[in-house]
Amino acid sequence: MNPFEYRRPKTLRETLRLLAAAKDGAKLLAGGTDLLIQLKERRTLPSLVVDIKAIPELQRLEHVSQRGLHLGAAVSLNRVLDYPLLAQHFPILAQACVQLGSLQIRSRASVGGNLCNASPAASTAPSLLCLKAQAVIAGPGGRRRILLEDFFQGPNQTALGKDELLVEVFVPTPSPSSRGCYLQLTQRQEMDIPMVNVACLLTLGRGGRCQQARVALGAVAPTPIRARRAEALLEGHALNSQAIQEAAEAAAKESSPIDDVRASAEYRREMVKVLTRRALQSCLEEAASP
Amino acid sequence: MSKPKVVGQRVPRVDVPDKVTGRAIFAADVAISNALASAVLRSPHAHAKIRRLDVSRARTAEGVAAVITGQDLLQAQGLTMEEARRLRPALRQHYLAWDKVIYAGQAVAVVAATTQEAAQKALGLIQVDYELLPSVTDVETAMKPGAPALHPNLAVRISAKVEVSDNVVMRTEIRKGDVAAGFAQADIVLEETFRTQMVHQGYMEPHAVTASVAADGKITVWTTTQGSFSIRQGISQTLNIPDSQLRVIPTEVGGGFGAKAFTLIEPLCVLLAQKAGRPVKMVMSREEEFIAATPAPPVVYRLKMGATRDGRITAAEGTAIFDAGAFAGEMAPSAMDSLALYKVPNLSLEHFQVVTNKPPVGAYRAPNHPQGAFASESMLDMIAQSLSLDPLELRLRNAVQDGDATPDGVPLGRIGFKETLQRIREHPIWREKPKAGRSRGLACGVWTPAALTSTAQLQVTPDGSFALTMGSVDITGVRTTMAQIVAEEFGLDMKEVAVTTGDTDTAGYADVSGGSRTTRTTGTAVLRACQDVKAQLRERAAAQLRVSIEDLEYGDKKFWANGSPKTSVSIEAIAGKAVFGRGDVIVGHGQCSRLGREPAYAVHVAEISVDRETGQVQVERYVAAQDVGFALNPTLVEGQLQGSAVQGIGWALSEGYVYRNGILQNPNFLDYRMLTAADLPPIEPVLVEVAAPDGPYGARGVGEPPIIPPLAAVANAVSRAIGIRITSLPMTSEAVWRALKARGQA
Repeated sequence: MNPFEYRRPKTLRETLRLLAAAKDGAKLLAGGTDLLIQLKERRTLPSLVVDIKAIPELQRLEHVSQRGLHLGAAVSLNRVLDYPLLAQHFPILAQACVQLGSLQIRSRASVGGNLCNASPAASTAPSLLCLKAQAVIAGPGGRRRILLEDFFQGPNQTALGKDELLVEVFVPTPSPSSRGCYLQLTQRQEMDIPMVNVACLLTLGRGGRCQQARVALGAVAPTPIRARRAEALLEGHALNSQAIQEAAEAAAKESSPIDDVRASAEYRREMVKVLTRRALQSCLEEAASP
Repeated sequence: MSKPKVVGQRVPRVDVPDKVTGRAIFAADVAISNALASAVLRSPHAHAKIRRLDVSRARTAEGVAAVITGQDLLQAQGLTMEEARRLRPALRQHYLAWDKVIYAGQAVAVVAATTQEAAQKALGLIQVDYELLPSVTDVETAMKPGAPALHPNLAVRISAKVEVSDNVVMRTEIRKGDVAAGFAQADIVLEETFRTQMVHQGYMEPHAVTASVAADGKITVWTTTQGSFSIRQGISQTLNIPDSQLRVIPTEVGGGFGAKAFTLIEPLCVLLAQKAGRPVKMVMSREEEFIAATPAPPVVYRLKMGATRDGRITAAEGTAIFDAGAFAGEMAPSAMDSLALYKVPNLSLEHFQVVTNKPPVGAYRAPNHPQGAFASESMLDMIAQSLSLDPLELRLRNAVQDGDATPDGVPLGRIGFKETLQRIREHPIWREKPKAGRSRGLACGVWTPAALTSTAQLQVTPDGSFALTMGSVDITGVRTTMAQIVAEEFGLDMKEVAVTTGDTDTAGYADVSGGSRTTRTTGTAVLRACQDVKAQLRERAAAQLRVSIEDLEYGDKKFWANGSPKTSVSIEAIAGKAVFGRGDVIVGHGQCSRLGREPAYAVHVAEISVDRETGQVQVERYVAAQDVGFALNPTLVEGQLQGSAVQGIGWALSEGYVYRNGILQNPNFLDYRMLTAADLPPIEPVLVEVAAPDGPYGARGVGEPPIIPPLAAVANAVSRAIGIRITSLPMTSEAVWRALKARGQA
């Protein structure tokens, strides 16, 4: 590991000052499950590492009734998973969090870090895209709030400026009549990165008519993406296995995966179809059961 | 023997409390004050000539104490590069390249510096001018005429049936009977080509060494190894250092599985310490372990077998191509071993060893056997399927038994293959029908341990305790089982036996701990040391009691004359005399270097399910049965069966080196996927005990056999689940999906 300066500011203001002063870019440290490996393998050589775990706003975890969940950027996944209201209001977020890394990783890693690392395969991204999550960003000019789908710019690239940081993810509470499902395909049960991951969230009306649909995909494009054509095929239609099959095929067409050491593009595209179909089917079954 | 009290019991491992509480000293924990850190410059190219190597700027960089290159290694051998090329064309360059690099990751220079950062920085100041050469990582391509030649001066003229390239460095043949006649007798003849991939042993602890040179030149080396004497030999031969000038201290070992049997970075660390005049520590990173240690060879195995309608094997004919990596391997590959399970009257097997631009292969648990068994045990399953025979029944019909000759003509002694098969036949996993959606696969394996050499020294301390010192390194609970033997022989509590693995200056010679030999050979040496001590004690007791040795009785650490238990002499009383010269010290020696050939057989059953849409294979249930002879410590034996099965299942399903343009694409535990507890059901061990006449208390070797069957056991289960024969590993979800897709079923 190369030597670097380590700071652990207690306020957002101090953090922003440190970031502004860092000439060749600072690295932010939350759980460190990505950053520490990069440092040890000398893939990043920052002169300053800013530990953001002592900043109270970044540790906020609060569900404001009816409105949504304030998920501080440095909150560990296990803390998120322990939050009593999570499984009730945000089941697809819980399903994603519990499948990330391993128990040890989850006690360190944060949702904020997972998003800021901006891996196309980030486990928490598809669910948060479905939930219309917003990124709350602080910078020298104050705060701004953007939709998470505008946050991802490319592999390991986000909308964050050099002197900005993610303060929290705000997740609006979905409609009580919504049904969702998150699925990921990995070679191993734990300690793995999805070859494909899919989340969907449907608001179903009477007679199984889909009022609103969100389908999001990971690991099959330069960033996590929404499958908008699949969504369009679902919205306003009665959900049946044919509609689901068509939506799954549309999602596969919308994906643009690559071949890499984890899987081929061809396999990934086919698995988008399988996982999307299974996720939608699960929503339908859940809606049917009391 | 009366009923054993300590052996055969589930005695807790003596080394475990320190290991689970982080107190154990592993090689990377060794901290000598003033020790230098180090870093290795490795080749980024799969194959290149080194036109120029300039380390002058690195040598003068801040904090740098020494830089070594292949030139220094040759110098230590007293050779110039020209002489080396001319005289020693086979001189291995695995430690450090001297005129060309043969795989990406090969060491080119090593820096010792005051800090890790300074050493890393200095690597950037080394200039290497490479002339790129075409490379080849696929063994079948490497074998074809016209393939890029790795060691043109090493080429051996090989009279193969087909024309081959100069990369073929070894060819052997085994013949028995008349294969053509055997196939003519067969009702069915099947042929298939099986492929396994390069895999890593996956030990948790990377290689780590510290070397220190005393003022008089005497060198001390602390290292993680399966055999301190093997390391001493490796260093002494590489650097021309007499054994008397070398002391190797083995630390606790965090897994080796064959990869820590021989020197890897130790000679480099010693050379650096000599040049720097200060202790040097080398610790490999996980990435270095993948790209520059000694993985297990991939094998391409074409196998043809014939059988009669009633399931008798009539002939086997095959060609096994072993990928040796960068250098010719020292171990002779043998595909024959997996066929040694059965009576095969007519046999013809050809082995090729071929070099490729990959790290040189090394030993991995039952070297080369899992690859061979993947082919032959898959083939047995294919025969069973085409004859509609129960795969276990087919094996029983062909299984070797006591007195049968091995392919090299030596008759087998008492073996437990049929007993192990029968235990599986009676087990619910075989007797009961699998649940809907599940399929089963069965496969067998055999391993015959070599004895090699071990010694033991047993001393009775003045208070009547026992101190056992051996040269054998503890990799699997050796200290525990050896202490159990001493406790058993003298009727002691485990607490009364101190047991130590000595270093090369303090312990008697011992070959490496490995190959399922340690319990047998070291155990026999310990038993003999116990007999030596017993004889000395009895002689002393008889003299004190003024009776003849034959009249002595022993119990509760006391001797007495037959019929008069009230007048006894204790071990403590005898041994205590040594203090201040009132009597001799009781110290016994034992050694063993020869034992009968006593194979151990394993029979495994995997029960799996397949997600036909994603291709994902889930192991639902797994039973590993094995003839262990006698389980000295059933808990440790079961651990061997379980750990080995997990490694084998990983080999079957998810592990494998992935190369692209000569560069390893997955040199980490994220993308080189070893299975975890979350992926697997409990592995159920079944211990069969058919005593081996030469093993201590009848023990057979246990560590190697259970890694042999899993590859085929899982593949046979998957093949039966999807109705498609899988012939290539690993069976990743994508691979299974592709097999289904090719049949239009996905």
